[in-house]
Amino acid sequence: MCSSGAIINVGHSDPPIKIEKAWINDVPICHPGAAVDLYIGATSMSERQPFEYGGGHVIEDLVSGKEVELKATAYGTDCYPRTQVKTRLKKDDLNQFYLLNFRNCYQRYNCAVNGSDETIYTYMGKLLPRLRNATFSGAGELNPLMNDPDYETIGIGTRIFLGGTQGYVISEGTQHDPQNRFGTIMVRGDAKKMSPEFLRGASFTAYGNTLYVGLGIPIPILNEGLAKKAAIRDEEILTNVVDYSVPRKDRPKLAQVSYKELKSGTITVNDQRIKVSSLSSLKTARKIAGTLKSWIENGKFFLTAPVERLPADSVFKPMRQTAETPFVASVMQTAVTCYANEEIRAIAERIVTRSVNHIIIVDDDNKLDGIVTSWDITRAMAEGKTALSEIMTRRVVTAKPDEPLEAASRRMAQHNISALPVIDAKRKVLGIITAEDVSKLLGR
Amino acid sequence: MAKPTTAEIILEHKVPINIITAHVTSKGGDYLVDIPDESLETVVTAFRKKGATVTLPKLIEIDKDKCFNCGACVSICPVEAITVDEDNSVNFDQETCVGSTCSACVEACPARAIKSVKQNNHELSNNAH
Repeated sequence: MCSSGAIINVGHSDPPIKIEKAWINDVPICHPGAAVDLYIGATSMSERQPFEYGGGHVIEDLVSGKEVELKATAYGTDCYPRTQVKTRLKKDDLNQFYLLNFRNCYQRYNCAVNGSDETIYTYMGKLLPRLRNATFSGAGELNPLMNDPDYETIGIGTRIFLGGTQGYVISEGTQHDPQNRFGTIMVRGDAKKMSPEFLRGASFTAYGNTLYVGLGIPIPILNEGLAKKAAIRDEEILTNVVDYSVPRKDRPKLAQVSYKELKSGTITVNDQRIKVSSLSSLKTARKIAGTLKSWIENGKFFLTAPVERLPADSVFKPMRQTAETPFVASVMQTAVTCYANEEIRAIAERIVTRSVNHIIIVDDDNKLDGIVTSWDITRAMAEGKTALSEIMTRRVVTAKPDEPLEAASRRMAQHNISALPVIDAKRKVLGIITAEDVSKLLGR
Repeated sequence: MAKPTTAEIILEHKVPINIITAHVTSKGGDYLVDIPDESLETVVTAFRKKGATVTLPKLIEIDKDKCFNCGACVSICPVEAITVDEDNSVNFDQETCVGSTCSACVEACPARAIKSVKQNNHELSNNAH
């Protein structure tokens, strides 16, 4: 899971440094607290090998006992005079090395497909065009939160299997959404005791880096109700098939499928049979369950009662956006137009009286014919030209009213121009946007 | 002048040889060919007798230590060379794999455990001089 990482304390150097920026094996590391506490985020990417090596790999390397290189810089203070440090560290050199994952163990997750005409690369892996493959994640009937959906035994303080050793649930996870059966947990464990078999750095092409985390939770069957809930089967666990080619928060849901279908290797969406495969390792999930069972049987692992329950009614809210995302329509102005048969002198007059720099040339149906700027007119006058048709630009770069302003602004910059006529599907001129108006709104 | 080596072998041994890729000039060339299993030895020997260099390529290499059996490669494979078996292990079938011309699984692997074995045309060549 991407929302994973490790907190480390690297000890004080002599003279001491109050780290401002840090890198381990070229991966930028967060510095959230005092002088030498660092958080290695699983998704942080190497500056030299982005997408191929990241924070997840740094954690895996440290856990495996490998030496990593720390580089840090600082501004220097009277108490922390040092401004840079470079050293090599192993896990035994660290004071604390705790895996601290703020969102793990999703109760269930979407099944991802791609309805567009091009391959896309997502956090759900590589998705082939026109629904030619599908991916899913999660262990279905083996998922702990699915087996204890009302959090009767899983809560704050629950001892768990984490990365090959014993860890704890410390909270509900971020984005915990229990009412929609998208529950999550926050976990912590001593990474020095973990094993790379259950903690793996990973690379998702053209998406980024992450960490695979092995996690298991024992659920004591305390009553009949729990026995019934823990007996849940894959066929009872449903999830949505979601089109990831739509780049919005709420993506289209194309179908509903069960984990039984997902694990069968084929799902059917609108009569189309689609090959589906898992992104998380079911083999490792089984191994974790078996290992945890043997620990309990051999008296190496003791069950705990939660010290506090996890919320069962919290909601996962979208971002409050105080600024509206601007579209072309929001800055579009009325265009000053003319016809191709007009004289240059008449256009020059219009530029002055209407105080604009761009005149759009339209035909009798108000369809886009071309564009002319005050500079074009000045040059034409200097060269003694009189016909507009001689100087107008006919291949015009345009904008659509419903496209994001960012996209239109980028296009102006790419073509090194200062205005775009806004047209509809029939090429009728609706208005004009200028670089000046865009910069006023986007603040650049 | 170049001899029609491949054609001669097909005729002499009555074996269907499927040419997958070919780079041929008047001086010789390189072929990637598909040979039926039962006549593999006969055909390879025949090519070598006629002076061609023959190598039998592995198409994809999987690093079993790196692979953690997630399955991300399975649905990507166009020829079902990658499958998940009963105990949820990911299995790879060399015979079915179409190799470097495809390599769809390589970039789909989060563990970076799959390598496409580059088809070295000179090692594979049928130098029909």
